[in-house]
Amino acid sequence: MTLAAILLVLLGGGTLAWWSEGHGRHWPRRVGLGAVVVALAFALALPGDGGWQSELRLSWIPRFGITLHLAADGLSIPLILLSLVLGVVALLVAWEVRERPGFFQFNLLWSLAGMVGVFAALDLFLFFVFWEVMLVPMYFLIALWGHEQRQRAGTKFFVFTQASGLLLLTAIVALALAAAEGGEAISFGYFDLLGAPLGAAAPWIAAGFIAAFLVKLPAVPLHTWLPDAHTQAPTAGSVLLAGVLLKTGGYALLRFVLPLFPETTLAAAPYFMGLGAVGIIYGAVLAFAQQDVKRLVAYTSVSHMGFVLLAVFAWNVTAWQGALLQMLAHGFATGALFVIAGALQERMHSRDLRTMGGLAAQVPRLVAFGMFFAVAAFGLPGMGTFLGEFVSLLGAFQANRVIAAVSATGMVLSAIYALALVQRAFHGPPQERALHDLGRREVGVLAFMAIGLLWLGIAPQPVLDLAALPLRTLAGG
Amino acid sequence: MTSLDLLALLPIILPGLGAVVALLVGSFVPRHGLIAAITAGAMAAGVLATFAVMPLVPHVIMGQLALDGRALFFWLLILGAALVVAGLAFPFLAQRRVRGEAHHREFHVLLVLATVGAMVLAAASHFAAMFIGLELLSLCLFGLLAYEAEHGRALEAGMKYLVLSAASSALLLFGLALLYTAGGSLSLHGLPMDTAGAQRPYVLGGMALVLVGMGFKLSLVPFHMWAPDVYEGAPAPVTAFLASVSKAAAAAWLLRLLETTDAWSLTTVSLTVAVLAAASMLVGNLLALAQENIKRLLAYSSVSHMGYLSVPLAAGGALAGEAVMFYAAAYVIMSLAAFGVVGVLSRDTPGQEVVHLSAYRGLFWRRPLVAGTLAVALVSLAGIPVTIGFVGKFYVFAAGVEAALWWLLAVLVASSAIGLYFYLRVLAVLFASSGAVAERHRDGLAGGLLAVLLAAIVLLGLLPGALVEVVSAAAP
Repeated sequence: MTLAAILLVLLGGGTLAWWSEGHGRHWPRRVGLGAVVVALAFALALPGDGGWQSELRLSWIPRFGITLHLAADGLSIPLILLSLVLGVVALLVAWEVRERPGFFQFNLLWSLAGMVGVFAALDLFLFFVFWEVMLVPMYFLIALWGHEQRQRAGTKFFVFTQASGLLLLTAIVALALAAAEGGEAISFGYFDLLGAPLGAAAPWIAAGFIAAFLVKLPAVPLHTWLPDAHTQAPTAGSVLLAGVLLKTGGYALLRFVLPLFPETTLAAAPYFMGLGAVGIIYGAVLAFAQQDVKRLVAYTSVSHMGFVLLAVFAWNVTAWQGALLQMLAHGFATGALFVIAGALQERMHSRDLRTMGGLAAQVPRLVAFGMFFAVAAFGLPGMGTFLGEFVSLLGAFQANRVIAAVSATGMVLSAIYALALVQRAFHGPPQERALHDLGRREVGVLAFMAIGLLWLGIAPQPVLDLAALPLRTLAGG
Repeated sequence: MTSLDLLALLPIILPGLGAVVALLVGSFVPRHGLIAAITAGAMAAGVLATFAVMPLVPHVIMGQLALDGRALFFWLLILGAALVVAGLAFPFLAQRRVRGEAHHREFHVLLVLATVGAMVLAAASHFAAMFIGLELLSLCLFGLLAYEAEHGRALEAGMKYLVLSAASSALLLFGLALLYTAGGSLSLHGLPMDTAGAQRPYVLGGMALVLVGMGFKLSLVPFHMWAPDVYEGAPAPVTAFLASVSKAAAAAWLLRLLETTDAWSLTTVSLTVAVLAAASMLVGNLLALAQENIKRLLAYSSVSHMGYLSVPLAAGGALAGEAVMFYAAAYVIMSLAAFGVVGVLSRDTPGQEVVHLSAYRGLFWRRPLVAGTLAVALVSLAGIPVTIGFVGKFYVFAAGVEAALWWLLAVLVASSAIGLYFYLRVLAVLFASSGAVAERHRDGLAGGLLAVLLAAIVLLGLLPGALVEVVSAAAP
């Protein structure tokens, strides 16, 4: 019931926030923040022993055996918490949105509800519905409140994800029909489809799933929507895109693709690990070449999510633990970098690195946080990002030494682009300009994210304990 | 003809009677409200009669009309859609004078008769009934399309439809004659689809010509050329009727033909339908990209949607019938909502409809209900969840997967992605910031109907279970 309550609070809160606009332009953000905080409070009650929590199962479309089936386990609970925490962050950084604040909050909360739903759905039809529900409001966030090329970026984002989504829908339907071939009643339930004999069709169905999730992750070469969308989205949208949306791809690979198609994925694992390694290096190299701060951060996401792909297909518990840690840490680190990039854009009305330089003297607090998260991005030991990448590589090394070794160079490359970012943006001779430093709200948000990142790096055991049961089940099945 | 036949025909007889009464009464008391009330009341009586004849199923009326679950479903759909069109047309026409008259008697009579034609077509199990229904529908449509003949391009729309429809009817008739030659029967049930022997050229030729004729009615590519011009020229409520009722009736009959004669067993026929579907999806979506006129855009979107609808028609199999029924219902609701919005916006501007995209900029902030309905209709047409359009597309996918028509599904995915471009474009226009504030409009009846359609799109998308049960129970 808790999960249903979270979803209802978010959906209802979004609607209420929109409606409250009529009572003054400060109301939507208050209502929105209240709803996300209440949802977060519910979610904090979720963690258990890592088994299925808060299960809810209602009949929906009996003709096709479709149910409203929600539940969360040790794999999904950390990601649900991440979504809601970053939801609060996104709300706080968008505190001053002036244009149509009600509709803005509506889209933010509905998108968030879609993301929580994706992590909680155990019926493939329902999963697909949430998968799409998070996209439409995100499209509006990008296309209406984004930067100068918002329309193009929003459309590109939507078309990429929707086209891959339709492939996913085809694969889901094919899976359900194939599983029902032996005369059994048709069902879209996760547990009904686990272990269904698929025969020769399995690789094709798996391909449909994987394609959709690789677009979302994103994996090279399906990543081209990401730099545009992340760059053009408003700060709150970028935080949610990088922080949560990308994780739905990694989560779905672990939750659906591996257990549903074990033989296929095991056979194809080296190729996807290789794709992950390509992503790691390609993203890092391209990040180094960017002049636009947000674009740079966006390409680092491509690189970091390469580690997730690498680890997911390494097929051992260590690597999966690394993938989970990497997803959580990346959510904090990259989310925070987008907050900083947004703060810079707000002050300088530019995202161009060439117009920056010498900021350290003018906005010391901003630069201090910038340093911290840039260092986090290249995985300084002690931060969650280091642990995520290290454990991922450790697991990958057991599976394939060559690919793991190649991927490890990504950690070196990330140091280059992160330090180059710090050097070009923050250091150098100070320039003539009047900028105000971070305000209290921004400092609070960033400090909170910094603490989260350190906590993940120093004491990740609670998360690993939570995820232990589902990951063991995955390895055993 | 038995009294049972007569009873079973009530859902058709009552609206037909309404047309006669409206003509008679209208000659003496030419008042718009009265005539509209009579015709709408007659159609509402038809709805009630449809529910009343449900216990008679299945029943064949004089070998002409098959009274089965499917026919009743389409009758309700057609009558419901026609009632909505009448409701949209009433305030629209109330602001207009045609040939100096304000009673619009002919409009309402033609609307009811076209509806009756569509109902006959949807239930026809015999070529004679089918042709009568089709021609009644088409003939009334000429009059409706060119109703505002003094204005703009209405006459062009009517003429274009008249000429092309007549040509396609001729081809269709020739096709029916060839099928008769092969099977020696005008009833669908008597048609053998045995193509092994000497009948083969007749059967295949006949089916090809029938598909051309129905392809024209459904505006499948390459028989779609008329659609944008006719959609653009006709008054918006008539466009809504054309897009919803006439398409649903034609789809219903095509489904009946293919299913009853088991034409799916002929690979040539299913392949032809599949090619028509693929071409319609691709061409419809591609041509819609460049449109600045919302009616033309929706016309091309309609072409692509008839392509989606034809995927289950090509697939055959257990799910095909259900999928066609559900998609037809979904498309009827979505297109009524979309064209209904155009009608509501154009109500106060006789002679010139509000169709250019620039007029829709920031509309959501000025008229939330109207623009919200259009936005939800577009999201639904794009097939995004929590709308009826998504469930329809899910059905289409299911039918395609069941028949393992992978190449056609690939075309479906690709063309849906292309389609997103223009749906999103209109959506972004609707929500664009214009600094405008909400205006007050008294939309009355039409506004209420838009709200109902909006609710139907969302509710049937959220909880499609009941409608799914209905269409699956109506399988023969």
